[in-house]
Amino acid sequence: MQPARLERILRLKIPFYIAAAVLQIAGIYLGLLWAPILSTGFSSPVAQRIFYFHLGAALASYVGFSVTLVGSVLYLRKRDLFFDSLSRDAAGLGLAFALMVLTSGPLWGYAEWGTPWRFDDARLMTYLTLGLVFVGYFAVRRSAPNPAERARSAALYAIVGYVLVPLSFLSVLIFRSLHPRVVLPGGGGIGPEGGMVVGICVTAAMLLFVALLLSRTELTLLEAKIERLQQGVEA
Amino acid sequence: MEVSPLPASPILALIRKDLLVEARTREAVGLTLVLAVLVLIVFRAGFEVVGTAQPAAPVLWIALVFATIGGLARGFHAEADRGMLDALVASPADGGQIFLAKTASGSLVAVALGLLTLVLAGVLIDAALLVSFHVVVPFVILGAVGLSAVAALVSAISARARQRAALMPVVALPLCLPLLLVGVQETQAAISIFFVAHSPAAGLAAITAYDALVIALGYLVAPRALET
Repeated sequence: MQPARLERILRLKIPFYIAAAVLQIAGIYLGLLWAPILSTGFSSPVAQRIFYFHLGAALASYVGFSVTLVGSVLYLRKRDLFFDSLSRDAAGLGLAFALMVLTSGPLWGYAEWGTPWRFDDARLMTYLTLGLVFVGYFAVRRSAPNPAERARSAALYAIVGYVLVPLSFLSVLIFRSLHPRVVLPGGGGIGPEGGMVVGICVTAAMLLFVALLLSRTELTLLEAKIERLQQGVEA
Repeated sequence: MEVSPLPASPILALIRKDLLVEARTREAVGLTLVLAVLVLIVFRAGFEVVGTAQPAAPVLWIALVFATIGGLARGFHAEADRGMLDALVASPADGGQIFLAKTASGSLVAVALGLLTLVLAGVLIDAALLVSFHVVVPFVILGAVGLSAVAALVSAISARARQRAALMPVVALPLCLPLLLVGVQETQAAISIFFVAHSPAAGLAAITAYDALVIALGYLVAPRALET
């Protein structure tokens, strides 16, 4: 990608941050105070409001891992370390959002099911496994002897590990699970108001993800520039 | 990414090579068997000290997972340690065929040891495993194949890494979790007194599908993993 075009894209991070902040504040107000309490299908209707933030974080984590996959494939095709850095940054953000999911989910689960986690639940375990796989991604990166080997090994492992993303996403449909289903025709009973709040919160999470990724990418490019300048000075 | 057709002879030659090396050194067999027995004993001792019942199904599968990943991790790592990895890559077999051969030879070892571990678990942990042997065996066999494929795939990706022995379990164990979960669930159902009402078909399909997925991924990814 040409540097000027990349610069223009990176400058978009400020508008993305602003939009994410506005939508997230709106989502917090609407989700916690405005959306109707859903007494049907939930034994803890108040705690159900965690869902509005939980879903956005989960979808953002899937997007992060998907960007990692795309970056990994592009690296293997073009051998450009920019795509390796993009994959690394996206994987890190995916893990950060996954941590939000693995924190908010058990809080909701404890209120709803009386237990924060069920190790025999396929939906929960596939998502946890996905997170562990991407922790392994960083372990692979740390063990490589040089940047090219690091990029290759990490890209291959990311491609292998990505199979758990669709498995995790679809597990709520394939397996019997305590985890509620809301991505269904009819929306799982959250109603139009709930649907609107979901849309706002998910959009906020996606905008935040993009803004953070742009920031990380800018940082990576600056680090590379500093390294080039240092090498020039030393030479 | 080029995917070449599958002539049988390079794969069979590599399988034969691995089995011959294993027959002479007994490296993987010895390590895997000892590891499996140790895991069974540790769990037996641990549960007995606190006086709780020993869950046979999870203990069996934990022993299988750790023994296979620990013992068969040496797959491509052993080749790298002996300086044979580049020679292997330069052979007439392509990366995908090398991966299939490594998975096949590893599976033969893993299945044999898996069945032995099942018998030992029946003796050390719960005799119900021996009573339900004929029901549990298909899951142990399919699970062993899947675990071998994961071990081969991860050892291929990490063959040129530093500290690959320490890296292997960190990277491989998450990929083994789906096999562990299904295996434990189906084994527990098999030894349960309510087994009559349970159909193992779904579990068999799930394990088979995961095995096929890992093997397919390994076949596609291994050529890139092994190239210099």
